[in-house]
Amino acid sequence: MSFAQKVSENDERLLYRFLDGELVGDETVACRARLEREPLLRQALQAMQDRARGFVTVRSEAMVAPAGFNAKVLAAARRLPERAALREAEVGASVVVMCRRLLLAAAILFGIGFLWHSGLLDGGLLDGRATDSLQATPREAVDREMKRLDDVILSWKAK
Amino acid sequence: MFALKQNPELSDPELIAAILGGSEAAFGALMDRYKDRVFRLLGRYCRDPVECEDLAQDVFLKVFRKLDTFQHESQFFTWLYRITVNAATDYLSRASRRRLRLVEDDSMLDGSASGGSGGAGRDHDAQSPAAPLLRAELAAVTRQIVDKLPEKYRTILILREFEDLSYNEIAAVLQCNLGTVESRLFRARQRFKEALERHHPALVPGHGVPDRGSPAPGAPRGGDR
Repeated sequence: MSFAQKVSENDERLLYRFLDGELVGDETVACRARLEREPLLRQALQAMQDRARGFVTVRSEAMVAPAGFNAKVLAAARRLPERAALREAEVGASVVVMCRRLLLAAAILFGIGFLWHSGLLDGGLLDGRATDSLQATPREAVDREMKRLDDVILSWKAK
Repeated sequence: MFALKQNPELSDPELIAAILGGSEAAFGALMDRYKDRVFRLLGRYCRDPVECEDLAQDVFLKVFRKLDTFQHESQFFTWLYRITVNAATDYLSRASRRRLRLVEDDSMLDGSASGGSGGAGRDHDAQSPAAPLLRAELAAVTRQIVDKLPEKYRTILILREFEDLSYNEIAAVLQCNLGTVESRLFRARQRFKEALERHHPALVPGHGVPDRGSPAPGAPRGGDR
């Protein structure tokens, strides 16, 4: 369990901002004063600094550009069309994308319309009539039928 | 071109104007100024130098193509970083679709790098003879954990911890507000801390380390910006 877990989330945020150099004027002074007073806060700060050591070491490991990189990029840039032509091509590409999206939207709308027209959506697919599912008889009808049968039985008994 | 040779220390806007005017030398100068930063940033996402070079080439070609759309509302390097981060995250999603391995060695995350259970009470003191080894170990583990984080947390940690960008600069690169930067960075650090505690408890700060009673640090990090 790290020390940082013992301080509140707000204090953790404050400490990170302090470490990142993001506190301004009075905030920094107030934070320093609290750090002087509160050992728990100091411990949390220490834990954060310890965790940051790994980042500091990794920071120094950097990939660098290989020799001849500029020449390669410049050669590739020379093969590019003029900026105006590139912009036109990009506009053309975005128009194609837009058309594709419109066509897709139209196809979806057509599909929905077709389903609606064929009655599959309107009380069809949605309430299960178009499927082979069983429909429950309303309770009142069942009660009525039961009462009628009871009446029939009673009338037989009476006879 | 002549002005460029006379004064190699042209500002970014001057170089950009020269490039838009057709100067190849100005583009070369701009690349010289930023290529190492671009490679360094790409190297945080991609460990293969060849792929990294391809990505960097794509980044600079995109800069060349889109330079006329740069609005000068932000610093040039934040715009360049945005393009670089986008290229890197596109690369990651492509690579993930191809199910390629992006990190160099998965064995780190199973605890072997931290020495597993044998690390209880290890000395984290920088003065210890084992300190360089521990530092290397912590660095390897740090890299591994960052590589495994979701892209948005990974990116924000890279920009803050490796590239040392301020919150404002990160907000400009990611095109979000300061509050978003702060909260996302906090969550990323929480994730990092949790992963460290879960997979490498021996490397967790405070693990067997007594309070050093050290006073508050003299100056917060990043003050040299």
